Amino acid sequence: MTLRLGRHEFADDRTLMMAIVNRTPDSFFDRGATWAEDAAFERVRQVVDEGAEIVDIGGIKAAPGEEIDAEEEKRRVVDFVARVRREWPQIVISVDTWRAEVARAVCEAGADLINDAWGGADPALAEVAAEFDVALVCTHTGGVAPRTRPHRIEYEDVVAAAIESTVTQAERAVSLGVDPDSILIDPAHDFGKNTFHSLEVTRRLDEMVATGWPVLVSLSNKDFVGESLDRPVGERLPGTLAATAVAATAGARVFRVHQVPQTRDVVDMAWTIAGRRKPARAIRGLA
Amino acid sequence: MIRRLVVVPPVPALLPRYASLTDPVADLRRSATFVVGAMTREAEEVSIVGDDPFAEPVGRALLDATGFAGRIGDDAEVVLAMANGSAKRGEKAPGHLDERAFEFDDVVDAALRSGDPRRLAALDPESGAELWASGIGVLRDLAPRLEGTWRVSVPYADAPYGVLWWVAAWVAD
Repeated sequence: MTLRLGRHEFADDRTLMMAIVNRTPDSFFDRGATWAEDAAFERVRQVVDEGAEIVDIGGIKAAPGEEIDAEEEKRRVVDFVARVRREWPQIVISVDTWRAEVARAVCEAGADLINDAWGGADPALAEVAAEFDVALVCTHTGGVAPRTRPHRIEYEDVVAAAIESTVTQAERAVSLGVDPDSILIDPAHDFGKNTFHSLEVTRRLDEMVATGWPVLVSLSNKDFVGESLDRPVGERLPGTLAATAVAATAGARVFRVHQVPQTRDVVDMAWTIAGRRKPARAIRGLA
Repeated sequence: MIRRLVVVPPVPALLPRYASLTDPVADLRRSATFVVGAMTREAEEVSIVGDDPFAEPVGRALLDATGFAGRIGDDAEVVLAMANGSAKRGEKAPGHLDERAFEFDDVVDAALRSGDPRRLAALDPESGAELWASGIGVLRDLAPRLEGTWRVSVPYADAPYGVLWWVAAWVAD
């Protein structure tokens, strides 16, 4: 199935790198490195040069912290989206927000995709996606409120729960008018999940792929990697890439990442091993 | 009796199952497909001859690529001879470097360009085997079936990976 992300279309044998661009002073990985608008702009330039197809711009860190209201969130992202849109018409602009009000403003500024990382917390978000004919990411959070950590959450079957939740959201979005070719589902590692849950979702990701909805994974440097390897943030790239290889082999299509080139190579290698992508240029033994 | 002879190399990289995102043999493929298409377009039957395990599949793949709709059989008037020169033409060649490769290939090259079946009949398959050439004995054995005079064209002759490949077309006058 062709994937349509706002102004952009991608054939079904394509994998996509979604590069994280934080307009936050306090996100866990970059710790405010791109808080200043010009620094965030340079980050976009870098990931575009590295071949990312999508930038995912966020104005609020996922973890609990200072309350950021919709006005402040819009101040952080709306004009920035417009600036990125002007400079790079060819890039897919995603905005990481759960608020319909913010989604509306960034769609008017040129966004192509709404990354609803908090699992439909604001039911009006999908209506905005339909109204502006942009794409939507439907995520599983186990029902937790935005920016809350998982605490003693348990599932009878975490994968079944993730499928049920994301597919229900996807079907609801279609019923509201979102193009079925413009919906992604995301099990949302570590959102409403302990490390064992995130590992199981990774191990059984093929079950999500089998739903037929294109799957996005957001694995990059997360705590389930850190806890699996006992590595602090900053030392999680090898673990991230191992999880990426497993998800790519299962058939994930979009990878939300901090490190674009490394992830691109791992995903291409995994898809090539899986026989979904040809080698770049193979002649050894074939002349 | 043979009326048309095409010499192309049985290069596995020409097979669809060994395709890459960037074709490492694009020039060879373009030339081989063009010549095979031009030489077999009117033919009801084509023979594929060679002594390499890839001769038959590569010959069929080239015919498929040109949309050939006829039969593949023995003793046809149009023949694809799957042959190449030495694979020992450099230190990075499949068979590494053997200095004798160049003189051997020059002899085959001259025979292919001559249009003279007697030059094919004089080729040396034993040296060809030692130097990792392919189909040399096949070319020699075709010679008695190539009567008369021939118009010859060799649009491709190159060794980008240490193996000398030709695309040659012989058409009976």
